[in-house]
Amino acid sequence: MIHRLRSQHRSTFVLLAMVLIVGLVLALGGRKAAPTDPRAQGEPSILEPAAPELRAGVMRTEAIELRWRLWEAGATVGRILELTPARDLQRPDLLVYWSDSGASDELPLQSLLLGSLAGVQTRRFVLPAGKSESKRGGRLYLYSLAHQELIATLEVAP
Amino acid sequence: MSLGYGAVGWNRQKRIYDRLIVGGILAYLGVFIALGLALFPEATLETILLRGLGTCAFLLLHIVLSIGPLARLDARFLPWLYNRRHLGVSTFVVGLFHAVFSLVQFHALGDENPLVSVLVSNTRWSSVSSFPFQQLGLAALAILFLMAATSHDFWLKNLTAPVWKALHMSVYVAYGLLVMHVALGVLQTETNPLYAIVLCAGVAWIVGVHLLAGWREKSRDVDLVRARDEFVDVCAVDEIPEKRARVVMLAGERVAVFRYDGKISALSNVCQHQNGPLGEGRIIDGAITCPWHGFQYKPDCGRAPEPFTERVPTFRSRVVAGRVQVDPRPLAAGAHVEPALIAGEQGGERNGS
Repeated sequence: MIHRLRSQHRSTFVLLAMVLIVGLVLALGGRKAAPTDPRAQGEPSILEPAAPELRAGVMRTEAIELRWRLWEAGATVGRILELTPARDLQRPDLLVYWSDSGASDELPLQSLLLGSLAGVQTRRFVLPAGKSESKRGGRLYLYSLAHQELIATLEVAP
Repeated sequence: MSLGYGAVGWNRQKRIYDRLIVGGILAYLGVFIALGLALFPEATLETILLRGLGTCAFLLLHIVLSIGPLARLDARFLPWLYNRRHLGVSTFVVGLFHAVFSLVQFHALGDENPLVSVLVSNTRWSSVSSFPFQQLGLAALAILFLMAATSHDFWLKNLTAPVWKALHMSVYVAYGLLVMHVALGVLQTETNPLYAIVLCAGVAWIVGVHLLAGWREKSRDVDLVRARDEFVDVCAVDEIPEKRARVVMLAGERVAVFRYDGKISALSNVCQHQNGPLGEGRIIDGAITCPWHGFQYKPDCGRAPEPFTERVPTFRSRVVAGRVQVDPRPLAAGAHVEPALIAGEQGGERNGS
């Protein structure tokens, strides 16, 4: 009775060894590098201005003060919007949304999340390409998720 | 040994063993969290705690699975075997904390039952990099729960040791599931080769030490029986140390042949408690003492001393010209057999019957 269990134990480990070798080779060999978007990483080779900036300005409310620049980074990338807080943001959870559905006092339901802002870090965002030249315009919304509050908006002309 | 059932049959050794387990777990978590916060300041405390608990449970499982084969290979590891079940239950408890924290961290804030969320939130079974590894961990935890829930002499006695041992062999399935839980989970994003090397080394260790012990056991199992109705020559008397045994394979099972006080007695090598190897124990206070948990049997009848009730089969033996011979046909468990006397030590040769 114990002799049979010992045989089963040996067979189990021979089988386990084979299964785990195959499993580990598949699992470790099939790993994918974490996806990175060079545009989102702000790599200068792509996001640096290929042409002079189109526009620039300052957004200012009680809570924030941001310098912004807009330029065309080439046909394959599109327009880049750079945001640089002039002072520490007084909101810890600012999300940056884009919408081309016209001005609104609330965050439009169909707006697109571009990314987040924090501290005094400069962030660059690729603005969505519109279906037509007239659709390239839109509005940027800075939104505090925790407070469910619209902090600031910026109209970007086509 | 105990006559009745209690939640835990505490004694000094078990208290020391359990304090070592709890102290070791707390020390490991403390060091892991301190190092994690120092080396990875961007990681949250929740993440570090989750990984600390996960690695702790996985490390404990490696220790639990190493004790058995190491004790087969070297008797110095036998003390670790004594209270291995508490180590196994501790492994389950630490793994349970890891699982509960994971549920809270990743599945508790939605509008779905967290347990249902674990099962249905990821069904990409054909993907390697996005494989639903959490289900593997849940399946392993369910097996470890079964192990922990039946890690008690009540279940051991009522299921019988062979059934209980067969049931507990499913821990190897749990181990395989956990290896893949790690390989398909955290190692998909943590690509530092060191982590993969450590995991593979752990697997190689567990598989290697089990196979090594298994093959060594197999090499010992040379059946001496040619005809079942004849006494079989097993060894010379002098080959058996005093108050110790020589283990031989007779008719498909191991028999322990003990020498003590000028006498020879043969009985099953299989302890009735947890099927430990009686022949690797020794005679203490006149009783054969199992090296695993100290269960005792009288050598001439295979019965545990009163009031205990365990019994093992006995075998007739005799000494002829300085050689020990054993009848391979087992007698009923607990059947009395007159020990064979060793010439010169007890005054002559005679058969045991």
